[in-house]
Amino acid sequence: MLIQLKNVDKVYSNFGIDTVALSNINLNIKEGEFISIMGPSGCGKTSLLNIIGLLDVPTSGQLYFKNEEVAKASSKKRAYLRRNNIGFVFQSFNLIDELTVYENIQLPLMYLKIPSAERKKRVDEIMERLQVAHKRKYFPQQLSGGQQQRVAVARAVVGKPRLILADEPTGNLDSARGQEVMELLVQLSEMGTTVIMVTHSSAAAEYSQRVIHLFDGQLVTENLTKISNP
Amino acid sequence: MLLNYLTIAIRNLYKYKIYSFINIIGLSVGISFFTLLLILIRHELSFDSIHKNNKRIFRVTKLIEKNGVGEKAASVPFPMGPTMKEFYPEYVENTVRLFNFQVPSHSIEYKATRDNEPYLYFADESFFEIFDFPLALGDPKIALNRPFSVVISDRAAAKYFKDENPIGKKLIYEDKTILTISGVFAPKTYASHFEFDFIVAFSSLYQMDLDKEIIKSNWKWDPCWTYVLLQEGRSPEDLEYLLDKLVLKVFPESFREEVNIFLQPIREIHLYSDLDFELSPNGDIRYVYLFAAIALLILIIAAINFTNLSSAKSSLRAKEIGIRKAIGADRLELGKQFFIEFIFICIIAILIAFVLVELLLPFLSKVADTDLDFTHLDKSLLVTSVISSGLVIGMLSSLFPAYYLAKFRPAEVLSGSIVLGVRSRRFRGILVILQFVITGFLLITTFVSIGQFAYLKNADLGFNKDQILIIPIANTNLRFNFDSLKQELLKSEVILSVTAMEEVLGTNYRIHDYLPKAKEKLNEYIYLPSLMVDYDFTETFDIPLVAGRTFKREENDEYKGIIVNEKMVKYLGYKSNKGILGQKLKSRGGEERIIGVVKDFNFQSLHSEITPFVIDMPSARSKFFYSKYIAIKVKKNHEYQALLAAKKIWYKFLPNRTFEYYFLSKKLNKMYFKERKLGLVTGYFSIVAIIIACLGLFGLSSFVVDMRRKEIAIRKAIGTTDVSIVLLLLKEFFMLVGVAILISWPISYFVMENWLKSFPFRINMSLGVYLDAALIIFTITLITVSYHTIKAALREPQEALQ
Repeated sequence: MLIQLKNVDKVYSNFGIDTVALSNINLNIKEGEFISIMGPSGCGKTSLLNIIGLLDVPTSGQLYFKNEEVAKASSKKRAYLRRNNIGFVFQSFNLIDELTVYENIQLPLMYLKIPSAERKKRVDEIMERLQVAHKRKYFPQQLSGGQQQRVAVARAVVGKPRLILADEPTGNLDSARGQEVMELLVQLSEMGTTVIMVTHSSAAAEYSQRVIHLFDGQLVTENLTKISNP
Repeated sequence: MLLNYLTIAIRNLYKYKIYSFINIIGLSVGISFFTLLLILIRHELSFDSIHKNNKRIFRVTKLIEKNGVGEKAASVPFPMGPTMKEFYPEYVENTVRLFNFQVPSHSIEYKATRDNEPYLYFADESFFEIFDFPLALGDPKIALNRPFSVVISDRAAAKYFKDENPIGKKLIYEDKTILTISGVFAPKTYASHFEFDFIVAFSSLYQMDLDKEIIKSNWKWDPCWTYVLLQEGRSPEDLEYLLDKLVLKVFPESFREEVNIFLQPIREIHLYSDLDFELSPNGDIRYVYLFAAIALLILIIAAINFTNLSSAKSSLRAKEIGIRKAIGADRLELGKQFFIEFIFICIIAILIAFVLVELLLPFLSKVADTDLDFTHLDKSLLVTSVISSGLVIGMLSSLFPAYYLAKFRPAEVLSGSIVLGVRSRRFRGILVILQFVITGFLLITTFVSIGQFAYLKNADLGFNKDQILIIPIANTNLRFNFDSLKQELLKSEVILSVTAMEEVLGTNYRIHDYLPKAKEKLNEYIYLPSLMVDYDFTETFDIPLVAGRTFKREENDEYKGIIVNEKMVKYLGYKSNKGILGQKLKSRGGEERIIGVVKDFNFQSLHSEITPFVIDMPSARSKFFYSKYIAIKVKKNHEYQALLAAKKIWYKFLPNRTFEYYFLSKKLNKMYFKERKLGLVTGYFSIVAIIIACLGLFGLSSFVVDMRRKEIAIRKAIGTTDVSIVLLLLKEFFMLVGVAILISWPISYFVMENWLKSFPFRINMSLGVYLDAALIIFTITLITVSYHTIKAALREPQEALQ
């Protein structure tokens, strides 16, 4: 099991007002799975993704990553796990504006302290694969949305993570570009990478093997086959 | 990774050009002015450090005092030095005397070049054994061992000899004595408590018009600045103890009880000594402390600026931080990134600071009235100061964003649920307050020191200092025919009155011994501050009489009549001014009687209280000795004509001597050069502080406006006017600055009131000073922040609301 959530709650406190984002979530994710998380706005999809991605900590409950309990892990430990195991793809791409395509993609490898020659090889490979090699010296704002997302995916996978977390990866793309990105994620999944995707789009969810539905912070259904809109 | 950090640093600098410019310029100005002040402080502390034995060199000084009246002389009698060496060889390794006939200048001539030289001293040949002033030409071991040999400064060499080699050349001293040049001092790269252009062999004096007995055995006259080199391991206190005994042996019986000899470490003369007859005006350790405080404050302001702007700018990079965290950067990595970026910016600022220091040093040198020169500067101090101050600021400033930005959870930033910068607003507010507290303090300090300087300069001294022309005649023949010179001068319509005196009134005085009636039985002479003058003294200086009369020719007042001030009436125990008239006050010249009482006036600088004072007239026979300066009262607005008339008459009497003169008011103003220097330095540095603080405020206002963009848009959307928006934004800054001003007031009051307390004559700090400072700060704040606030208020709201 790659990830296990047991009775996970997430409560945000703001000026004394508690907002429950996740409540009693129990979830097991196996290595190599491609999972979609769906649900209406504010149901807790992104909160769940952030907790799984170790970007946030649960208020209570247990979180196991590769059978290791990490719910209360230090920020240093969580950074280490993210660096070595997780790649992120965001709806708004979240590329660093001041870095070129090449520099954005190589960033995770730098934190992994991969030597420069090896880094160059891997970045070149992934850029070729994602067809952004000709844009290597461009800055994010000089690229189209689709190109930016391809760069974001390249950055997410260049470190060969076991887990890809994608938050609405097609949300800012037209359908053709969206389809390209989904096909990329499927390819990665087929190569053994675990993919967890948050999406509103049932079309996008269809690419995954399992769909989890959230409502008001609670896990309501799990479908193991292709689904239609709830 | 380092390259990645630097790449992003450079691109960020470029992206936020205005921030970067303000940040770098603010920091480099801060570092450079901090360094300039350090250079100034170092210069002040470096006086007389050139001598390798400086720890063993002491100046012999003499304090003579009775009942609070007397003098503290920087000079001692001729025999003092040699006697010390003779009596205490186990303590005294060597001594040297400097002597200048107590005249303000000496005539020097070489071919067609002739001038009056103020910095000429006769010195024992041990001069070069005690002092280590380097020679460019000549051998210090033999330079002064023959009578009439002279060692000259490089500037004197350039003046008289231009490109010629001066060694062996002959100078004419005072029209008759031939001096042979035996050495040339190397260009001055050090600070010394006395200036010199000509050092003449002391042995020459034995062959000149000076009574040999005076040099050998006169213990009454104090014309020699005397320095002693103590034997290794000997303490000055032990020698002082022995000197107490020596005094009782060698000084005249009539006043030996009142004499105290002190040894002043040569390194302390410049900053700690304020005696009568100093060789040059000295500095003041209190001002060194003050400069150090200002230096530190400037650096704090610059550091605050840098921290404030950098942290504000870092907040704009929340997204980048969030991404880096998501990718796996831990706090340490992010901290490192900020640290490297900040250091990088600091290095740029440091490089600019080096250039600024070099450019501004001549300016500082002028303002502070020093001879600081970049080529002679101790570069190690410069480099250490600039680099360390820059790096320390960089490191400290990176702590805040490194800590704060690295602390938040990436999910919060990436989801946009927190707006960075809001949390750090209070922190930045406190820094702005601190910055303006310092600025307010510096402004008030400037106003008070300038006010005090203006007061000292313009205060009513109790005598007329305007339209008074002073002509030194000490070492000229005019001393002997002063009366005929006076008659000639008075023929000019623009010359109203002429007198002579032994010291320039208001700058210096002497002490002479007198025997008051009450002490006659014991024959106990007392030392009284006094001035030997000629007829028309009170008329020339418009000193008002409160009782009796002034000196009159028909009364034959020479060594018979005495005028005293009101303080002296009380000092001698008389109840009324009239009561003292006609009373005997015996002097060494004979029986004298008090003929008049003048209103108390400041016969010395306003740094000192008015004490009892005697105005006396020498006998006709000794008049030449005391007629060292002529004072000429000239008609208002006719100064130039009077000067021309005096010059013409001078050359009639002395065709071969350069005419020398100055106006008394200018000379007196120079006595307050320390206050002037303080006012100027604090003034300029306050301006720098204000500029740096305003640069910061300008940058910060842009940031604050950016942060509140949405709020402004919403307010506009619901109908708030542009003016209300501007006022709303201004309020935030005015609150901070207002609090800062209120805090700066009591601090400034405390510091400056203490400073003013050291002056017997001083201004009082009025409310106006505080209000002026506040007004300036508010006005500048308004100008600084208006640009961004008005721009924000005029922006269309839909832009921010989309």
